Amino acid sequence: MRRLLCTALMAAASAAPLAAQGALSIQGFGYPTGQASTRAAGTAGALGESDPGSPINPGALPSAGRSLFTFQMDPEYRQVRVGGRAVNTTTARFPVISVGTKVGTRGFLGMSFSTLLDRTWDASYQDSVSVGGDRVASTVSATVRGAISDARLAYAWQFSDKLQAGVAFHALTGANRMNLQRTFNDSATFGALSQRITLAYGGSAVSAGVVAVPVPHLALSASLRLGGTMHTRYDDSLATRGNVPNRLGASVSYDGIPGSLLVLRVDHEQWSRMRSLGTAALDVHDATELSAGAEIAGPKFQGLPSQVRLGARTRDLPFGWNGKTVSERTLAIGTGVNFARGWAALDVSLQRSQRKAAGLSETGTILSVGLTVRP
Amino acid sequence: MNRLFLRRAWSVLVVASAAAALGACNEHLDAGSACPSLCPGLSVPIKDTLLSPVLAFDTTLVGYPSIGTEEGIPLASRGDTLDVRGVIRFDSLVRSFAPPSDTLRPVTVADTAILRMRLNLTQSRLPESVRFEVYDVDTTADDGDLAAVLALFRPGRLITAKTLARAEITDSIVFPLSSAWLLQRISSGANIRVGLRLVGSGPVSLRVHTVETGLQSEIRYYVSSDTAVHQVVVTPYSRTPAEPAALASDYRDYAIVAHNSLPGAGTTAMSTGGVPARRAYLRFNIPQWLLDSTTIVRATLQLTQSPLRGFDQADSVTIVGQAVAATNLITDLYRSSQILIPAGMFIIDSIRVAPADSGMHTLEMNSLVKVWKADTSVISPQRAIVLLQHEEGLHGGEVRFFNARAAASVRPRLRISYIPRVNFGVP
Repeated sequence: MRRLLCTALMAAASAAPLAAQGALSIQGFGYPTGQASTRAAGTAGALGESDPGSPINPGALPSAGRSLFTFQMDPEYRQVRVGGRAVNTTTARFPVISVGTKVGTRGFLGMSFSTLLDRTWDASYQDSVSVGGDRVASTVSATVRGAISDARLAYAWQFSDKLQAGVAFHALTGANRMNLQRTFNDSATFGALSQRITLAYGGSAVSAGVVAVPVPHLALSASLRLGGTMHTRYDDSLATRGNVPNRLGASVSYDGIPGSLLVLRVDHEQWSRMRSLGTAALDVHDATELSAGAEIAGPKFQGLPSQVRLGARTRDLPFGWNGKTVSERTLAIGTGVNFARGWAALDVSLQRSQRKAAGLSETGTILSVGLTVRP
Repeated sequence: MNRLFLRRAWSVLVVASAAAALGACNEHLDAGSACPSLCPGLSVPIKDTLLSPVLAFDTTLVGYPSIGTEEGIPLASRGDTLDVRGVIRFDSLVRSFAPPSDTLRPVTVADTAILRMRLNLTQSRLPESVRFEVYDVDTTADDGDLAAVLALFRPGRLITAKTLARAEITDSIVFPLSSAWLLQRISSGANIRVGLRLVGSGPVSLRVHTVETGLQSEIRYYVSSDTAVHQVVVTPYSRTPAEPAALASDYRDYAIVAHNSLPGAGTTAMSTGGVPARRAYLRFNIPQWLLDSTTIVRATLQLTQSPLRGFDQADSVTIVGQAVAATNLITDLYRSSQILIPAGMFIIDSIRVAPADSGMHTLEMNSLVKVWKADTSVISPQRAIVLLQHEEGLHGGEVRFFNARAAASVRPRLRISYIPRVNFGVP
């Protein structure tokens, strides 16, 4: 008991100053969380195509076996280095919530809410600005909250033990609530600026996916998302119009080694379809993601199996900085354990990412804690 | 052993994860040190506009401070250019007294009588010698009839006079008064109202303290040779006008301008300061869209000074702007120009100039424009300011600015720096 208490205190103490950040990863419309469940995050996203808890491939839903509810929390501690100075931030995300249930013996209906692009940050800094011909010292405080979310309704069908497929409709919604303040050091002469604004998003997409086992121990998963139109709005007025990015992904997994699952995944997302959604200054690129991971059977816990997961990923982030692409390299580790006689599972993963662009570097550590209930 | 180890390891992992996750609920999002380079997309432009014409109208109002509110009587004698005199009323002479342990009796003696005045020599102008003249200006004429009072500054009304060299002029001056004359005033029930006038070997000006400064003039005299009877001290007091009663106290001590040779400001200038002092009243007409649809960051009133040659032309004075607190229901501009928000509020700076200066001067009035923007009620204050001189009425020099009827290049303008209500945040 004493050890548990000490561990809790140490962890809690380390959580506050941990921080990490960088605004490199939150350029443009925000950071792409990858929409991976905690389980998939433990393999750096490699399991994303075949994981029923990750709202990526609707064809993977029947793999849940029975009804499914998942919820996870992903705090990220970031540190960005600018001019030899480290800036630490902490942000909390709830990137995936999904529910699903079997329909009949072979059908599966699922609904999920996930974060496509997270854009949450604060900034307060000294600045000077020209007012009436004079250069005036001021303090800028900016607050941005919100994300573009992906609400997905999916239906999958298990044709056989070797083939399952699904389709889904995606509604992309969400908003960025922004508050910008500028206060002048000489507040008697210069009035402060305070403007609040909400930028709302709307769009739609459809997706389809398949999971097949062509030969024993070898599974192929693939999915495709076709994006429709997307728009941004200020209150009730249309601001910009663009397209939801298309996505194409595939993975191959091998479970021929007892107690293990090895996965390779490739994913390509056409983020550039969002270009017209931003201003002319928006620096957006298509991004390809490569990841590899393994899920290995761990020791049994209260008679139930546990898993240990490892993974690595490389990808470019969709929104660049200063004309340069932001690259990201991620190493991940995770574990999962069933409890409540197998009706529930707790997954924990830790991802450590290095992001770089134009001489700036950033590290991000994402702790993901997910709870899965299979009633 | 293995099972025990695993159970403990899992417990540690679960608790650590939960604690770390809960710790992250206390978000720390401020990435300010990485900004502004890494915080794009949130800048908004600050625009400038110059409003000209910006005044609905302007006018110069004369006669400040009003009688009874002067903080000093600015006596001046500048040959044929400026002549300012003063009046002090002592309408409460002690006419009876009671010796210790005795009965009340009338005053029959007025011994060792003096008139003492306190002087303020700040920014005074003193020639080699100055003659201080004290006249009897008591009259039954109407209190507002200043010409009748001025007519009493004549040799036959001279009560006393004193000539002092410059070095002898200090912070007070004492005039001996004739006991017989004083006793006659006491016994006849008359008042003592003295008129003050300076005559210098050259241009002269100085201030006499008033009741408002707390160092009022006084008449002192003894009514008995008995040392147990205190000296009588009479301070300024006025019995008239009887109606309204409150106005009588305004006439305890006041200044009268006998002559001022400065020409009028004309049709293209507005004036501040001088004796009697002038105030410039400026009513603004700011476009409503600017008030309603923008965030105003800075509002600078630009005034172009019209140089004025004459006495005190090189003496620096301070011009302040004060917001008018009077509502639009008050149409009397003279009255409106007296209902002001205290100096330093809403208009924070001032203009330090000499009357003969020229060029553009500015007043920052952003806070005031914000008040105008916020207050849209029916009884909102007038969108107006008053330009007046610090130590109003105590300096001879006037400062003039070109008004709204002057050429476009010199008329008052308002430079506004504002941020339009723009949509921002699209990256």
